[in-house]
Amino acid sequence: MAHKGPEIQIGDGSLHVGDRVVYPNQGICKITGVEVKQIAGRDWEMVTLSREEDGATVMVPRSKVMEIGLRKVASVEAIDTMFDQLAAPSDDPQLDWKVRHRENADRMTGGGLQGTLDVLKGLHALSQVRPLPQKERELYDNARHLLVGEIAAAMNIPLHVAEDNLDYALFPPPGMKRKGMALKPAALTVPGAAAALRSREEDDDEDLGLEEERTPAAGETEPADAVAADEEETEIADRSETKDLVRQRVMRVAAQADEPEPLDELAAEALEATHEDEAARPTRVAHEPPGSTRPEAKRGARKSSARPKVGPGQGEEPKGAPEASAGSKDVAKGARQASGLAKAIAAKALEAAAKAIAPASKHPEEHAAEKPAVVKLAAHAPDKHAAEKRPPEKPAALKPVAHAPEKHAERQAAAHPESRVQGTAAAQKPAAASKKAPAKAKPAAAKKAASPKAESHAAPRKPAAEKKPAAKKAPARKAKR
Amino acid sequence: MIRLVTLGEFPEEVLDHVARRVNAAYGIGCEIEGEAELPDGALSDDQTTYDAVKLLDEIEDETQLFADDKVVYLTTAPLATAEGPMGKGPVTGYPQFGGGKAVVTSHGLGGKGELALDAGLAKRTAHHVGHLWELHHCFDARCSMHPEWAPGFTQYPEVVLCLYDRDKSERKIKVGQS
Repeated sequence: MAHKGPEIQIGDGSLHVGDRVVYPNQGICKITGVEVKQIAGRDWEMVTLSREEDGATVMVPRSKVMEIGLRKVASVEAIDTMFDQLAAPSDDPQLDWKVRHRENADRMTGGGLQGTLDVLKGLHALSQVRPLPQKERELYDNARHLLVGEIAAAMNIPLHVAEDNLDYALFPPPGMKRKGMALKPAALTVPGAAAALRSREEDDDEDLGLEEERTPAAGETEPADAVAADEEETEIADRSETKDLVRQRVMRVAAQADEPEPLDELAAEALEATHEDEAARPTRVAHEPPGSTRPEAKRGARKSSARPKVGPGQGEEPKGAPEASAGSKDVAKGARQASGLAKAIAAKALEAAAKAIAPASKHPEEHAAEKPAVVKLAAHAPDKHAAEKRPPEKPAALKPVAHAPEKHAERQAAAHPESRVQGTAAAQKPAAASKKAPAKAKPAAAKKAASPKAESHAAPRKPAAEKKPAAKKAPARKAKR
Repeated sequence: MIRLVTLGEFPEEVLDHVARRVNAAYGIGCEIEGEAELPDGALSDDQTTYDAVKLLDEIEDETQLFADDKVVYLTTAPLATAEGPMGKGPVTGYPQFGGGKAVVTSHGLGGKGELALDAGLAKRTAHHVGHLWELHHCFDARCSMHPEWAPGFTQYPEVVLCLYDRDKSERKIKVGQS
């Protein structure tokens, strides 16, 4: 079923059957009629067009005529105005390819004659600066084809004449005038060094994209804009260019991998590794300012160095034992506790021994009279009550106080009161051993043995050598007492 | 196949050079077909130029053509075309855009600022043959499809096509052959 006749209005009413129209994707067409076609069980009203180029038939749903940008061929006046614009100097080309691509796509479909002209002129200006990528080259050719066809149709001149006139405006020959105004003759411009030209006798190296890496010939100078746009050029979503970009990046990465790592970086990594245990602590992470992107190890290291020396925090280890892992920490803690207890006990034993020695040097009668006093002194020990219950003549009241090595010495002292001097010496041995024992656990045990005040003010990162004398002082003071 | 028909006197080596260059540019055969006479009806009113459009319409040529054949007429006479919106410009030839015939003139070649006869005629011929395969003008100065009056056309005498035009011409040639 076909409706043919000039009375049928198509689109917004401006198109009629028999009109010559411009179809943006097809070229110049002639509306031949409106037909109803049954497609997929539905009746569709189709506008049939005949393409002038080759006579092919194009069918467009009537409802989509305006959407696809179908429009009437421009008038002679419009073409004349268009040539004025073509002959005018062009603006700077849009260098942002994303913006350019979007704008050009919109102009080609819905921009009408002006839009097509803008696309052609913009890409022409860009082509004078740098070579166009494949997609834009196609767009340039499509825009040119459309304009040439429209000029020829509007002015009723051959296509070749229309194209020559178009290029008289874009590449003005010497002496060309437009409405009395002389146009500036076209200058020799080679858009960059990437213009790929080959005769068929040459190799097909262009498939590798090598032609884009040519250097300019002698006398050819690449415009400054082209150099500035080279970086942006790599972003263009063209397959061949993307391939080049990937290749360049791979080469760059490979070159970086070959370079030796700077010593500074290695040193920094080693430093960070020493503070790994600190960095892993949640408390430090919680106190870190928000938004900080520094690695945990670095943050921990910086904070600890900036912080005033107030002693080690909970679970914090002094610098003397940096390689202690989580497992070894527990062991060290246990050892510290044990040695601390041993020291305390040894100190008590020393006290008891000192008291015992003092009466021994006096007269035996005096010694017997002072015995209860010894018990009183021993009452300071943890098992005070046990010591009180026992008879005063038995100095074994000190027995339960002693632990492992000290126990034996005290027992001996209690069993043989006459050998108290020896017992004292025997009791002093563990004390000396307790002084040496911290050498294994190093400053941690030494701090525990020290007074609470000294412990709280101990610098966490002082070398072990500096702390050793302080650890030795504490038992000495107790011994005096 | 591209067939060259002369409408005047041309040295053999020049014709040979043109045939070789066109063959190299498009990758299809090119041969010198023979001679023909300029139609008097194409002569303009002032008897100085030939109207290129009329010339192609009125020429009497017995050259046998097949479906994808193109005929190029070579002449030494100056040509002219209809005046367009930009006025009159230089004319080096006229092709039936997307058609099968073209006429090319050697007028002006060998002069000051122009290419030599052989190189210039070869490049002009290749340019107009390109129009027969619907190639448009190219902005690349080194491409044979660059406008003939632009400085790049004479600056680069090599008969070569840019990649885009080469691909397009190959497609058109394949379609024509099929």
